Amino acid sequence: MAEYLAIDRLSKQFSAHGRAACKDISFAVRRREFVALIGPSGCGKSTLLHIAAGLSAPTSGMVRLKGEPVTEPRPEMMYVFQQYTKSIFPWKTVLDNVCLGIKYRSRTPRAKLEEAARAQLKVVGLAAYADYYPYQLSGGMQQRVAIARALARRPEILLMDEPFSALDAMMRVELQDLLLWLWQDVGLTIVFVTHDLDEALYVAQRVVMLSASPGSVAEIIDVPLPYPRNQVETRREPVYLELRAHLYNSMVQQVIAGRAEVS
Amino acid sequence: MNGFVRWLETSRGSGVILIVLLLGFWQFSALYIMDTPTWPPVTRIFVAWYENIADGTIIKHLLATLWRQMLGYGLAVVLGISLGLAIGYYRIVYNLLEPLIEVFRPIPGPAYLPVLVLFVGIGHEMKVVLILVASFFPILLNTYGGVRSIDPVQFDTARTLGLTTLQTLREVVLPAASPQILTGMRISLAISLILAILSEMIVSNDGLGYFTLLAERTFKVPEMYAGIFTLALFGYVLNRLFLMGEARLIRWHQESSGRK
Amino acid sequence: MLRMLQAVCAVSVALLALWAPSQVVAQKPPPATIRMVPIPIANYTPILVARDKGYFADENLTVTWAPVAQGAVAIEAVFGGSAEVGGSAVFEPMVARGNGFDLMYIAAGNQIRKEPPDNSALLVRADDNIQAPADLAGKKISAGLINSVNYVHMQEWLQKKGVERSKIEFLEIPFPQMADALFQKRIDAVWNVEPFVTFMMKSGKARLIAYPYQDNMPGMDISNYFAKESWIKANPDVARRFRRAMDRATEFIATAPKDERDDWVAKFTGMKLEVVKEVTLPVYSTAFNVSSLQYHLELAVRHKLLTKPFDVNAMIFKP
Repeated sequence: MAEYLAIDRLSKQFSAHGRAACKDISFAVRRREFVALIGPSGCGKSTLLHIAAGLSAPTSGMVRLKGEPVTEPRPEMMYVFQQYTKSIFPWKTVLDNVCLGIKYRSRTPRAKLEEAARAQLKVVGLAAYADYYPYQLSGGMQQRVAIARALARRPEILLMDEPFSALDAMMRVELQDLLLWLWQDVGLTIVFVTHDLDEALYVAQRVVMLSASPGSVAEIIDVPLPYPRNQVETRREPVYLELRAHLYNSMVQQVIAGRAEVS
Repeated sequence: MNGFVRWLETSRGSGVILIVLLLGFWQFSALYIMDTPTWPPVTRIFVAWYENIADGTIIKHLLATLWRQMLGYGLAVVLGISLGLAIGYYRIVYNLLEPLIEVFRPIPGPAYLPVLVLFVGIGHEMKVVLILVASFFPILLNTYGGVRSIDPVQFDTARTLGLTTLQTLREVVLPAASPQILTGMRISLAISLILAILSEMIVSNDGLGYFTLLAERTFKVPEMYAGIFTLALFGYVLNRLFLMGEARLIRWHQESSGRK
Repeated sequence: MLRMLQAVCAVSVALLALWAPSQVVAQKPPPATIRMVPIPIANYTPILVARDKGYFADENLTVTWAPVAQGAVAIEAVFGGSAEVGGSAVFEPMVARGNGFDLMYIAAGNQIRKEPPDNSALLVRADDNIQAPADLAGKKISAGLINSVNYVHMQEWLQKKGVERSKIEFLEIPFPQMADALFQKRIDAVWNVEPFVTFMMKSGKARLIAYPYQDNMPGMDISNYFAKESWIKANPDVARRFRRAMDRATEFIATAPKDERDDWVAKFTGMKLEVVKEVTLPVYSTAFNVSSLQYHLELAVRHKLLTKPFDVNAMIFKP
């Protein structure tokens, strides 16, 4: 299927401020593709993702998954939030959090559920922490729990809203590599929102850059870097450096243009 | 001197010792300084207390108070939490009920007593209703507040996990609001005891409040103090039990927010 | 000769000058103030009489009073020092004294009549089939506050009539609300006081089955005036003067024609005169019925309000 996830002329206006968050955005994501979404702050990338997940409604335009419009969260989609401390429920153990996604889906007995959950925890490297409470884990570990929980539902597509922004540098790179591995291993489609250019280039196959508020698509570039990627080597590649410079300049332009419009 | 200050800083027992000292002062002053029947020595109070325990009087009255307090309180918990959840969750319910709540909220519990006596009589039922009405509001308001303060991310998470409304209430809303709900419940626990005792002092044949008042009326002053002492002990034990239960339920909250 | 006469006159005048003022002073005792806390019922009408007919003024006493709802409250006010003399049924001060409160009866007040009618009675619903005391078994009764004088006498009365205490359920209902409670069937028998007894009888819905005080001991002391023993000992003269004025007023009311008495009662209690004319008033007496006081004491001990008796005579003020 060529267009797995289609964003079709999406606009969102918050009537409260009368300000448009994003305007007339159109792009498509292919099956099993890894796409990064970047842009200056306030460009509406998070709002866009929120709508794509079916969590809020657009003012005009629509989102289609496999041809069907998305009006509410779909089982094939999973969302990973930036605020992992809230998203991972502090009153449940790590194991119970992961189980929550699959608990009500079918009448599977508790033992089988836990087995599946533990398997996912193993995949993200948290097998030993199943009975811990989230507050006892570091930020990176908590976000891994979120990923494990998302994966437990066997989604086809993962929507991630700046998932690693609140982590420190070392945890961030660790999780970037984990994500890449999962992407290949599970065969996911991923839409990854970030404000970090380097991160976008490192993980994605394609980068969609939005303009300043109200965001619309400024440009879409391909990232012809081979997988598996390496934190040191890939970031040294000439192609990488070139793309990075290009994106950086583009971003600066967007920011300046945005500021000019406001003033 | 320094050593003493150090001991005061670290000792948990200093408070208990203070209480013992105050009791000692009471005993001394009652025996040697103020000789009046309204200020009996602690020993005489203790004897009166012990006698009333031994012949079952205090226990009987204590159980009467406990029974009506727990009934009223239990109903307040169930109604308060259910209604609080509904108001917090559904805008329609909030719009309908909020003005009504704002009207009734400032009315102090004891003010309902005359109305209830007229409508429900002076029996057991009236006291339970009075306790219910007074204990209801803190739980309702705290439940509502707890629900309102739930981060939208948690609701969004529940939706992405495909949870139905009922499942969301059970897995997300109730646990997330539980610290605040429990705060409301603890406030109401104290209120329920106060109103149980008050209603017993005004219209009753049994209960600790009645026992204390009767002792005062028949000038059995040591008994009266014994009644008050029993009330203090009872309230203390209830509160301790509640805190223990609360710690179990929201250990995750207490430990993560640094309050143990 | 003339000089001696002058000297005698001078000395006589001097002596007279010294002696006369003390005589004048002796005519009027030093002024004193007494605050009273009576229950606002007909029994304490003599207080108003003593003030308005000048008996208190004759003794150079300024007397003010504030009504209280029950004897226990009066006792607390007197004991705590916010009043000097209180009015109460004889029972409560007695129980208080037995528990260490140093109270004394400072003046006599009222007694139960020796024959029916009385100013309190046991009433049931007219259409109920309670006839004899035995019929009260298994019923709900109210005799005022638990452990009050009514209550204790009710216990005694039931015992004398052979009804087991455990078979009766006692409720505390204030006198004004007894009628409603009885007619609404929340209770089966009430020992009520005037003027409510008259009201209930006139409604036709109530039937009188006994005068329990008269059944227990006719002519017994029922209410009087009390004060702290320490106050009386510190102010014996004031106490005497109070007693004198009070006795004069009580005597006046006791012997006045009915119309005049009713008038005073209406003024003191605030009841309408037409109502006062119909109710049964207690007997006003300046004498203590000591054997009845001993009887009260005996009841208090028997019903466990006191652990042991004491000498009732020590409690009566003898000016």
